[in-house]
Amino acid sequence: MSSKLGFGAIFNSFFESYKSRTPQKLKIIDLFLVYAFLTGVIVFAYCCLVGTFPFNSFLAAFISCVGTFILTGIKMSKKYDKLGDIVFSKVDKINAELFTLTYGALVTQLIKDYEDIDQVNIKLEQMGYNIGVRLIEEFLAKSNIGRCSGFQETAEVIAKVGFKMFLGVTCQISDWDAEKKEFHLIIEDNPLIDFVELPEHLKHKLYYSNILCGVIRGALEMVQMKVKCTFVKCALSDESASEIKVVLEEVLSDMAPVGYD
Amino acid sequence: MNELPEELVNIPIPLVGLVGVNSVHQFIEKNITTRSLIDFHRIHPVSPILQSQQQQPSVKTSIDLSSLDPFDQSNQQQQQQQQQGVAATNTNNTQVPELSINNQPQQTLSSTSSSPPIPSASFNPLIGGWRVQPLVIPMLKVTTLDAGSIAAKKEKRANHSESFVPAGILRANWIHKHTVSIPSVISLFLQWPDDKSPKAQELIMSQIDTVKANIKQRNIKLIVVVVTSTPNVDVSDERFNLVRRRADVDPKYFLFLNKLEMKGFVKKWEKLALELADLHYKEECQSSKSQISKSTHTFLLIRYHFKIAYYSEFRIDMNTALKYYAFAYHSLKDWKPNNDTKGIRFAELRTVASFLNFKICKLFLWSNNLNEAIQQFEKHIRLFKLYQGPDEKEFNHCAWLSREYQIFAELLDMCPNTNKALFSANPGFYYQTAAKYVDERRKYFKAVADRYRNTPSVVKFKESKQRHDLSILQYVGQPPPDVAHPLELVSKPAGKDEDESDDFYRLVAIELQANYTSAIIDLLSRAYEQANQHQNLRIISYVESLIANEYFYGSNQYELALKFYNKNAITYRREKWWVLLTYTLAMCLKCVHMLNLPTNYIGYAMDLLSPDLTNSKEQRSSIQQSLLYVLTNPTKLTPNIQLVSTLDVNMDHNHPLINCRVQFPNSIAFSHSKTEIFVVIESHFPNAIRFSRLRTIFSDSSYNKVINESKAITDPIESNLKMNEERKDLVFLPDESRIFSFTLNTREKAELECQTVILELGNGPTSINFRWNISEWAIKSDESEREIYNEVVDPPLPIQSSQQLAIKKDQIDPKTIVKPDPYKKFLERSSIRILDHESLIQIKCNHTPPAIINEFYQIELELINNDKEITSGSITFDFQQQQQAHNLIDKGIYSEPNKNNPLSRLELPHISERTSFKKKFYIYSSQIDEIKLVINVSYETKANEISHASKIFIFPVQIGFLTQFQFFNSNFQLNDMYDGNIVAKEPLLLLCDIKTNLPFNVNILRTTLEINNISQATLNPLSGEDADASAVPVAQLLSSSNQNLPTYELSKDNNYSCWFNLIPLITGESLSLGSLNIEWSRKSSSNNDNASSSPKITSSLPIQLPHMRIATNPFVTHVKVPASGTVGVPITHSISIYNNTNFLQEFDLLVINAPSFGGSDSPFLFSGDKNSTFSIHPESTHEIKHVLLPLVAGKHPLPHFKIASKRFNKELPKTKNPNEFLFIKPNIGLDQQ
Amino acid sequence: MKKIVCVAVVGKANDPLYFQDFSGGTEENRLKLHYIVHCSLDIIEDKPGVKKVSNDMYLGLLYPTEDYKVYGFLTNTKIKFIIVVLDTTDIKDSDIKVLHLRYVRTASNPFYKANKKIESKIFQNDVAAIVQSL
Repeated sequence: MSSKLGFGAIFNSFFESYKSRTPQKLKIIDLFLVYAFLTGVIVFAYCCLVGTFPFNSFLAAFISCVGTFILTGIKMSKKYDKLGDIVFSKVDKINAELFTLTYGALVTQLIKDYEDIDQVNIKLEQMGYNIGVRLIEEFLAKSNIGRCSGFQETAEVIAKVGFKMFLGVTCQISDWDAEKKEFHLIIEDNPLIDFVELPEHLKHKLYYSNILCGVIRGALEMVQMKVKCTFVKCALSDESASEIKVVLEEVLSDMAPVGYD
Repeated sequence: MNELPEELVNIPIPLVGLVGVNSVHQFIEKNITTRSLIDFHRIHPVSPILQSQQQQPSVKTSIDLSSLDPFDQSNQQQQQQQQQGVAATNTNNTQVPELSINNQPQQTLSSTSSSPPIPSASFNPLIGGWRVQPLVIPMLKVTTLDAGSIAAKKEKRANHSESFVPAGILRANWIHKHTVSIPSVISLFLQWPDDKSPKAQELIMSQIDTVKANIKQRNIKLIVVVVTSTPNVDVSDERFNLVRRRADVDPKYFLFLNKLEMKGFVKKWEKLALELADLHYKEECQSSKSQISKSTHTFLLIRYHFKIAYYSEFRIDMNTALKYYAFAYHSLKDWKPNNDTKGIRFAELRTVASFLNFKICKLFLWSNNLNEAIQQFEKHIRLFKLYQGPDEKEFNHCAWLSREYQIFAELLDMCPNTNKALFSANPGFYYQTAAKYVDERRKYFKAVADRYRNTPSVVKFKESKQRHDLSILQYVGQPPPDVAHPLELVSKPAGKDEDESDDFYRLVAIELQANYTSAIIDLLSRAYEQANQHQNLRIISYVESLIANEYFYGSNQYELALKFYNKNAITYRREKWWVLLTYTLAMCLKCVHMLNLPTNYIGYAMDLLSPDLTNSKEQRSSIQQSLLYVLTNPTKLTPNIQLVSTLDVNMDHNHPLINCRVQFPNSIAFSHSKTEIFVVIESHFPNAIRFSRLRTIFSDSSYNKVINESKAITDPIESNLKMNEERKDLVFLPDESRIFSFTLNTREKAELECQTVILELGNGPTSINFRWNISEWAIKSDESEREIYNEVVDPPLPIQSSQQLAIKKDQIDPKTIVKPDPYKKFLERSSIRILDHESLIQIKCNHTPPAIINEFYQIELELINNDKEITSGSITFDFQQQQQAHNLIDKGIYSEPNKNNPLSRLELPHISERTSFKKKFYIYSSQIDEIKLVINVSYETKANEISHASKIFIFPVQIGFLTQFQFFNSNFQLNDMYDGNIVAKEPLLLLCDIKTNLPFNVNILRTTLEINNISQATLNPLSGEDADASAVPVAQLLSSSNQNLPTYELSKDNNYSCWFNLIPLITGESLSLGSLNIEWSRKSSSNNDNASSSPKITSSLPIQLPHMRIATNPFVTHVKVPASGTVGVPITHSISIYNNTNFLQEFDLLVINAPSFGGSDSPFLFSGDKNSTFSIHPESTHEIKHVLLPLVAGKHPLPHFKIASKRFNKELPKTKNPNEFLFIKPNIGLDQQ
Repeated sequence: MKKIVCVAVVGKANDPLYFQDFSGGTEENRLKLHYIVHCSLDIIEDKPGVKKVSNDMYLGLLYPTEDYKVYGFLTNTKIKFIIVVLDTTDIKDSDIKVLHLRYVRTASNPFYKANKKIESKIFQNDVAAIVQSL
């Protein structure tokens, strides 16, 4: 009895999260999958009931349904998530506490050094930039990702692979603007801010994990994308989740000489 | 412990009754053997506790108790409930008299006991008159009875057994009975008659009968002792058997005693007696066990269990005792009184319970079973904690509770063997709790007291004390009350009520006289003792706080309270328990308020105001308010407390409430100038506060500064004030820190120190002065001096610039005075050094570097006087010697360009304002060097202010000229013969090239070459023996070029050269032929005024020629050839070679025709050997002659005579040159002939 | 449902880092709790002496007052956790362990200065939660 309830609960929660989390595209694809599956079932049922008279046609119909189903499934199974996991398994890890505490110490020291908080934010961003500039190489090396087709894909890669690889978490991408030049990275659980609790006077001033912005900027700059990263929300300042706004300012011209290719 | 009946506390001893021969009795009584143990023992009848809690009623239901505790209310109720008691009571009454006989002694004791009050406060190990100590008690207690005395008990015994429905739980006198009156064994002594008359026999028999009859039902054991006078009696006497049979005692217990062997007898007898006693009690146990059945009423159950336990205590069988006490308690616990409105039953229950509890705990403790005891006690308390019964008696219950705690505490305290390490075993805790309940008791009673205080019914018991004492007597031996018996309750006559309440009134009356404080303090101080033993400091301070509270609230002994609060405050401040600290301080504040100690009041108030305490803003602001009231109108405070005289509060450096920092901007100033001092005061008063005066006290009082506040402190603070704005007033907003800067006009030279800053609160007669004795902590000027210097690292002095010493500079321009940020820490500097009047002159030196060696280097000193008119003064010049002061270099300062008058000090003329004073002087150095010249100017102005200025100048000294020397031989060949040696005794040419790298042009006036004599020439002068020789010049100067050349201006990078022709005379390894002496003068540089003013100084710079090796030539050769010839006239060509060496020298001669007429016939006819070798002896000359007959006219090359020395394997230089020509004239004259 | 009256964290120097009473009692009651906790420090100081052998940090029942029980927990860094509960209830090792974990989280907040008062909201909420849960 109770178990049934449990199932119910599970299912509900699953459905909720599915509705809330999953991006629109994905839902559509899922819908299509369901459709294909159902057609398959119908066909099968038909042949069970009526009989397999035009056997080949039955086969054709059924197999096509199943084929569509499977192929689409494979196609749409989000490749970057997998990739992210794979890469994450590749890179060697450090103790999360150590990492977090180190970063915390860094930030507090910065605050101690220049009292001005904005200054601290800037410094953090710069550090991040320097990190990013180096990090990108390793990133490309470890996860042998080729050129991204577009900014959207880049975003995907950052969210799913990049974050996964270096922070062990993936984050959501949302609110694309019209001409696909700006998106928001939503980081649900940001390992940087475990334990951290901002004192009141720092809230909404200090962007604790501003280093991430820097990293993204630096990394993208190395792949000829000049972006601007800013924290729009920070979980530490009592907001829902940390949210980074990434704006693509320009695609730097490739250094390849003109007319080379 | 005193509230417990003595019987209960004392350990029971079996009782043996002696009947018959008194003489024997005494003897036995004396000689009974004893055992020793550790147990309670009453030292003095009444304890301090009893004193302190004298009127405290106790709810004991026992006579014995009442004997100790005279005003036993429960006895009252019991008593008058007694009248309506069951039949049992009247029988009890009958027994009163003869019991009372036995009790008489004890009676008197107790009645006297309550009188002597023991002062107080010597607790351990003495508690409530009881002390645990090693006791020696007899194995048996013996009492003399007469045969009939026990008679009465028989029927009493009987009707006791048949009272099915028990009237109460425990019979009060029961214990007493069994310890005092009812023996377990009776030993009958028969004085054996001497006469054998049957009549005497008959008497004995009757005696036996009576005794036997008495003891029958109680089954008291019997020992029969026949006391004979004669030593030997034949046991086999018929009559003995007769007697024994009559008494039917076991022969074992049938003894003979004759007066002679008493001793041995006692031992024997007592052994038997013990046996029997033991037997008796065992049987008693069984009998009471046997009476227990399912149906038995709980009370009986409890009673029986109690009895059993007590019996087995007689038998020193503690485990059983413990067991049965536990049973009893258990069954007691189970029994719930119903419809017990008056709480009387409850009272009885709890009393009994406390009996049992005491016994149990004690037994546990004595068997060293600490935890059990504690558990038992906790159970006990939990059971009876919540009171049932009429509310107005609740205080009574509290009293009981507190006593329970106290008793247990005392038990723990006195128990010989427990480790008190376990906190829960710490008596202190229980004492403390007891104290707490006393306090509650007071609380509860308060209401009651207010209601009843003056009601007549209470008043009439006012003097009830005495009457009680009397009344004790008649209560002795009363059985426990029986009230709660359901039937009785129902059928209770109404008449009882006022007795009831009557009794209650008495209780109230007593309670009214109670002195709680002393009780509480007493208990607490015991707890304190305990805590002290275990060094539990924090618990101590807790107890202290309790004590203090009691003193404060209970009895308003504020100074005592204050004492304890203070101790607490210290502790909690150390421990940083702000909450507690705050509370404690607040209490302190109240205390001092009550005690009317204004100064302390202010002190505590300030403590309380300090921000790190946890009190709320309201509280703090109210405190501040009251602080102001203390100053202004004390009437606002109740009771009034006023500051009678001005109070100085010494603040420490950073007091949390207000702190003060001072800073002189820099560590030194100059007299008659201005400097500033900054005072930063930071206030954390909860509200804006207006101080009335700010004073700064300096070491020199004439510097003192004051700021006065116009308004009174009570005036309302303007609302429009903003943080951190410049204001004139002395208002401090909360947490504001303000900076006040005072400008000081320095006077004469001194060390000025800011000693104190005083901030005054309150204008009018009395005020609070917060003083900061700055001098105690802040940095003195000299300490801070160092870092001043550090911040002024003297920069590399740019030559030809006037620069003051750095320190002076940074006082000159005011912008270096930066106000410290009042909110930040800054370097505190409480003192400043006022130096002499600062010198305003500038020292300049005009000169054109670099100086040249041996030059009188001209420097123009210029003093620009920005100061007042200088009347007198002096300048001193000095070289700042560096370490390696090699004295051989001569350098000096001269006032003229010659060494005649050196210059060290110079008097200043009268320099009027804004004019400048100039003086030329010259420094001279003979070596490459860097001269550091220190110029000190000290002068006095018209205003007689002496001041100093000093400055360092640095002059590089260089050679300035680059010279190059070259040697040529006579025919301008660069002299390289014999490895670049100079050949002695042969003329050679010397070329000197001179360049300058100086920034300015110089005029070369003359260049001369001085020939050294040997001593100068050689690096290592020759030793003395040929000193005459050393005078010999090394060379001879034949001629020198540009003798009559005019002065030549040599500019940078073009050069000046001159030739010298000379012959080295002597040979030597390394000789410098001489030194080139350049006489030069500076070409006056661009600024012509300088030129005009300065005469040409020609200075000469000698430059040593390089050291050369001068060797002699081995062969001196001369070639003789006529310059021209004539055709057909022979010419002799001779070469003479002088061998300069000491060896025979061999030569080859080879004549080679000149290539020009190689193949063709030569222009000469040639005679002489063409190819030969010859040798020359030392010191001899050899001549080679050839005759040439010219054939053709014209210019013809001579043939090459090649002479090579074999030894040197080298061609002679002279004959080396290949092409010498000869002019041949045609021979005309010959043609005419 | 256990009733926790108050929870206190006491620092190295025996100064209160955190004190929260859930009794909701009157002022003097709160004060009393302070006293109790403060006294219990004494016991804690004795305790390790008493039971040296035990290496676990849970001190168990420190001492009973007449209506409270005090439980203690002493870390090796001399941080003390003291929990006062009603007389009727008692606290298990695990309960305090939870508290300890919470403390660790708080302490590793870079903005928390070691051995200073704990103002952290999160910590307070956590504690409140724990108290409710027990």
